[in-house]
Amino acid sequence: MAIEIRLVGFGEDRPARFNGKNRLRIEIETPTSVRTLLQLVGIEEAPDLIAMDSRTVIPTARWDESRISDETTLTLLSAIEGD
Amino acid sequence: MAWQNKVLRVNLTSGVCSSEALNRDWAQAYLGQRGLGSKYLAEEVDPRVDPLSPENKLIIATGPLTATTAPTGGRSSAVTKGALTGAIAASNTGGMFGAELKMAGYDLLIIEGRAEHPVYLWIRDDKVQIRPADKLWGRSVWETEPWLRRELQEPQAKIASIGRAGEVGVKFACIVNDMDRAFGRSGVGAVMGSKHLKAIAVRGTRGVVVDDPRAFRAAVASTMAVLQPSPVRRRFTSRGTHNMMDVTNQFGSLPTRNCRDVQFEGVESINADAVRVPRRSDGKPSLQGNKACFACPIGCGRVATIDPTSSLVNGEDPQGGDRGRYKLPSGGLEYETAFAFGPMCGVDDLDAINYVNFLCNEQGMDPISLGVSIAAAMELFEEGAITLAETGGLDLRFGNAGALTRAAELSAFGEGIGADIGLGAARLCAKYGRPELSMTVKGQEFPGYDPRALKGMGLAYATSNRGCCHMRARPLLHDFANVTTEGKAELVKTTQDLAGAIDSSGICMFTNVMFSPQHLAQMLDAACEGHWDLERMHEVGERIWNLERQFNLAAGFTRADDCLPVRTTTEPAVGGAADGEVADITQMLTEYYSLRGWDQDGVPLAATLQRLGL
Repeated sequence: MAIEIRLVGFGEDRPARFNGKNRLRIEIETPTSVRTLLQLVGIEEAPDLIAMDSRTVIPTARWDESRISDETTLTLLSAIEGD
Repeated sequence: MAWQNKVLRVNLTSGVCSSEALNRDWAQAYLGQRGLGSKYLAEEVDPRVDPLSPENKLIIATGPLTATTAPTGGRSSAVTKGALTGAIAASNTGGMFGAELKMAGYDLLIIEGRAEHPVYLWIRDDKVQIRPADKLWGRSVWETEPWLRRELQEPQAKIASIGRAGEVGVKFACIVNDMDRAFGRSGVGAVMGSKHLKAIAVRGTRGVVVDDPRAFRAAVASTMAVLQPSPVRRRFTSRGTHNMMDVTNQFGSLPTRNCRDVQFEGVESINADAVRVPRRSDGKPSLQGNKACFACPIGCGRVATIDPTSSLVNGEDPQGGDRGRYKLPSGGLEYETAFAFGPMCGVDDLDAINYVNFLCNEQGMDPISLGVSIAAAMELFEEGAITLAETGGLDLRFGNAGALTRAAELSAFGEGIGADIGLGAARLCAKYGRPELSMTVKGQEFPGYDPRALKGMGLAYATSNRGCCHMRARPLLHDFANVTTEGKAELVKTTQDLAGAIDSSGICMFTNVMFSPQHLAQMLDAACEGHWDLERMHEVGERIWNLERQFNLAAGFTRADDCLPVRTTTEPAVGGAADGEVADITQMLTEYYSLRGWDQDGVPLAATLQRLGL
């Protein structure tokens, strides 16, 4: 299963696996959860991290549900609260 | 301790300058800056006064941590009745000016009356003079600061001044200090201009004594130990607040084309990455570097240049001379500036946006209010309410970068359609018969967070005592994580109270995402007399909030003013996390009033006032 992870607002704080880009396409074998995926690509959980599946926010309470499946685009927002 | 225990009072009508003891009971109850300044204002100014009359006062207030080694301890506030809103105003600035005023020995500077002719104020420790400023009147901030340092033979003087906008009464004129920092919102610069006060120059050579130096050093060290390695701090340093633009756009909360839309297709041309892209003309990016305010280890301020081949920085200036000064670096884009001149006006031209930002620095205008007022004018133009006859032939459509820059120039000088834009969006839209097109609350323009997606921010906007504001409460992270109104009333109330204390302490609001308020409480406890903890900070913040509310109620504001623009409550968002949703604060507002201890008209109950000692 191919999924795409998009980073928004991370600046230079992207994990090494993203090779300086804001998009990463990876293959997974079975549907997986947001939390597992974060661990897989090396993103630390933080209060400012927001996960969106298509247009919908995935609440933190549902980050253990296996909802990331084939052709999903998971958008991760680093929403540091600034001006 | 931490306070200098001295107030400088300057009456511009009589020409008398005098110092007096700080009311220490009030300092214990309201800390400093916004809180203490508001207390003095509320005690001394009739809330029904015309903001531009001599009876209004302008108070520059420092906090107990201002000019100390507390990280970001350089803040000060301008407190007055706002020219834009008619509500109580407290505009917070960084830079170096506030710390210099405190080091000159003053907690507060209270400016009263109105000078007959333009004047400036020169404060050198105990020596205070009101001096003629006829030669300065009509000059920009960028001319005024170096002129004064030469005139005073004091290169270390720190200066706060108004540009042309404050002189001609632009309702959202600000007071600029240190060339590009500003007491920004609510029209405090128009109040200063109405007093014929062009500038305040200050040189302070004293220190600030804290109550327990050893404990204070320890509290600062423990705060720095958290702050320096913080990934949030690192992001602010490297990206600035501009980083937020991609996030709000993706989320569908980026106000675009006067809030017709919530996402902007041109965002990649003007975001925090775009300012790093080398230009074709000189191989340099717009972003030249960053800079920090007094005692700030973060340095979120940006320094930028405009493409030197752009017509914006070459040729003749409509005001005379040439445009060469715009080739020099000035304060660069922050998120709010970029949003207001970019998406809100539908403009994706980075040089045009930088230029208008420079113009705000140079002539003293609040970029948020200017951008949103121009956006309102653009929509009025597209709707046919404003015609080419009114704009003087300017094609004021959304997306027209040339129209944006020209409208900004006209606004700074109060000329042509700029005179109307300078009224602010609310008065502008009312004048042209379309009040519903004004994206304002209590007369103050929207910041860059659309309340259709960010539900708590909607309540924060509606209830902000100084008119629409994103800094008076901090619900943003919760708003991003939960597109719901549930729990937001309490969140807004709690963060409003905390923000009141931070805003009154002398340090920067941004620190609240880098270290815990507990650290601030420890620094206050070590610096100030008495016991300071988190509970007391919340109590002080709540007292300030209620004091401001009482001032506004006495000024004539009611529950009906705690509202959002009709567009955001009736036209659904298209795209993003709140696709199809409108803003609805009705339920939250009822809950909020209850949590505040107010009746359902938004009036504080007697028991609430008694509890807070009001």
